[in-house]
Amino acid sequence: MTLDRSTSQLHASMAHLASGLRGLARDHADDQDVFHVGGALALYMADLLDELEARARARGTVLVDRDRLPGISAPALPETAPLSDPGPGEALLDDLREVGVRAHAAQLDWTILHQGALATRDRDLAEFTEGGTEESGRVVRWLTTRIKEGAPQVLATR
Amino acid sequence: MFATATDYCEDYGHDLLTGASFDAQEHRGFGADGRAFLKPAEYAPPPEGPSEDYPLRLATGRRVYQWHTRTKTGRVPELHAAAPDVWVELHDADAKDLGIRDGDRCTVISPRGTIEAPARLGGPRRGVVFVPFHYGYWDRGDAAPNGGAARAANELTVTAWDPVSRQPLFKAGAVRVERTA
Repeated sequence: MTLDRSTSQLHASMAHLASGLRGLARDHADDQDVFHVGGALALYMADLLDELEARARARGTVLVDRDRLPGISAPALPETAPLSDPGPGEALLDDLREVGVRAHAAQLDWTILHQGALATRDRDLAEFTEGGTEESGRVVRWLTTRIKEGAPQVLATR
Repeated sequence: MFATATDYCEDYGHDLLTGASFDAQEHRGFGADGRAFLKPAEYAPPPEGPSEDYPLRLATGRRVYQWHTRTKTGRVPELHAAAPDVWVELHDADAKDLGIRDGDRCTVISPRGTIEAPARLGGPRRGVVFVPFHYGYWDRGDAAPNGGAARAANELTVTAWDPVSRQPLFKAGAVRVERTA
C-alpha cells in the first residue's frame, strides 16, 4: 500500500517522541513544569501511538514493535569548538533541544502522511493525521516556550 | 467587542494544557478580531493519585466560619470559637476500616509531610479525606512542624501548578490515615 512507508516512519518518530518526553520528565523531575507537563504530553503521544498502531493493523501495515525500534538521537551539535560540561540549566536546555528535534520530526511525518491521506482521498485518515499534526505541533510549541523561558537566564549567568 | 485584534491585544494567549505561548501569526490565524475566545481544555489527571502506600484521595478546602488562613476571621471571637482548630473528615466506612472513631486523634501522612488532627466522620465520599486549609502556625505558640504537631494542610499537598496561571495545585494529593497512638 502506498502509505505503508510513511506510516512506519511516523510510527518510529512518534515512539521516539513519546520515549523522549518520558525521559525528559524523569530526568528533570525537580522542575515541576517539565515533570508534570512533559509527563502529560508523553501520555498523549502514547495514546496517539496506540491509535496509529490500531489503524495500521486494520490496514494490514506491518510495524516494528515500538520497544524494538533502534534508538535515534538528535543530530550532534556542530563541533566548531570543544563543548564544556553542561551546568544544570544547560543540561535541561540540551534535553529540551533533543526532544524538540524528535517533536519536529514527528510533526513532519504527520504532515507527510496527512498529505498522502488527502491525495488518496482517505477522509478518515486525513482527519486523524490533521489531529496528529496539531498535537505534535503542540509539543513543539511547549518545548520552544520552555527554551525561550530558560535560555536567557542560563546563558547570561554562565 | 473584545480586545482580541492581533495588533491591539496585550497577549497572544497560551495553550491551556502546556502553558506554551502562541505567537502573533498563530493568533492572527485564529481570526478572533474582536470576538471572544472560548478555549476548551482536555482532561488532565491530577498530579498524584492513590497508591498502595497512600490509598486515600486528599481534598483540601474551606469551611464556612473561616477564610483562607484566618488572618481576619481568626481574630473574630465568634468565628474563632466556631472552628478553632484543624480536623480531618473521613467517610464512615473508611474510618471503620482504619479503626478510627469520631473524635479520635489521627495522623494524616502524604509523601511530603504529616499532620495531626481529630477525626470527623461522615463528610466526604468513600476513599476521600478532607482537611480544611485554614490552620497554620501564626496564632500558635509552638511553631510546627519542628516545635509541635503540624496542622497545616499544605504540609501534605504536592508542588505543582497550573502551567498558564501558575496557580498552585494545593487542592489534591494522596494520603494514608492512622489513628494516633
